[in-house]
Amino acid sequence: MALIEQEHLKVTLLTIITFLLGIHCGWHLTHSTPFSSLLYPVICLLLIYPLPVVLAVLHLTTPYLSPLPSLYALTVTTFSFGIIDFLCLMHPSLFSCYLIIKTIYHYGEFQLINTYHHQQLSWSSYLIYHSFEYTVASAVSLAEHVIWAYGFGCDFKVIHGRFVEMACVGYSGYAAYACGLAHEAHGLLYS
Amino acid sequence: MLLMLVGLLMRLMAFYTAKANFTHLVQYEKKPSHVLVTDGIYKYLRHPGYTGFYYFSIGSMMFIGNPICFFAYAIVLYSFFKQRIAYCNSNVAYRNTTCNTSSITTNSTAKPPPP
Repeated sequence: MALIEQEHLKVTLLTIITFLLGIHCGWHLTHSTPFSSLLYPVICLLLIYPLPVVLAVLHLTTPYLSPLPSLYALTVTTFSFGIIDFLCLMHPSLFSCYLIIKTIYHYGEFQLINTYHHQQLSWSSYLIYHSFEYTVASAVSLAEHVIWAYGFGCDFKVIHGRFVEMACVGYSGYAAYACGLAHEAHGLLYS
Repeated sequence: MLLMLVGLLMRLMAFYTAKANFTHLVQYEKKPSHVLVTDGIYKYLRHPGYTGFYYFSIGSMMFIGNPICFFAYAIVLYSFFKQRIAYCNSNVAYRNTTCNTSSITTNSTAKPPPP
């Protein structure tokens, strides 16, 4: 039981670290101050540089996450959650609030599996790619929101005028998605 | 926003109460660790996970102001959960279990009993 708790805690710790790393990167996207140039190497030393070591150790000591794409997908997803949440807090709007609650929801789903069914942990545990229908529903709701926002001037500050930041978020999300698919393919090939 | 948060809270309470009995996939075989959950939020709601997700989804559409998706989500999710719950109820473990409350998790399931 102690071993199980350790495995669970290791993954939780990893996701928290990458979440903070995402916040850090989000912060650098929006700030360019002398303090940021001082903070950057400190955070790099604390978070970015040790990360490959942390990943390697977890990769070797956590057998159920041994396919590296899976581990990478988990971390990239929480990394993108960090960027999203930080940018949303910097540009508060209804849509920002919605995105923050969505990240809490997906992380909660992930923690459920991590805590109680850790042997089944995978990128799918986030329930981001639940099914094809779920993805279509998400895309349609986003499209409708964009139409209302740009067509009728609704609140949409997060995306409007923030294309670079949103491109970073999109890239993070895409990387997580690609890694998740890689993990699923790995499971299909080697199961 | 209230509807969305209530839905989220309901689902989180379902996680917290059911613990290991809560899964994302319907279970076809009853494992020894499966127990009938009738306490916590399951005392009041039979499917708090589904109910929470339903209100979370339609609440989020209302929150960001998507009227078309609000009605579409409400209809599609209702029909989806209606089918899912009917399927779960035809297989759940409590068919052989004496249950004093009307609340039960759909997540501790078993093979249907032989006819």
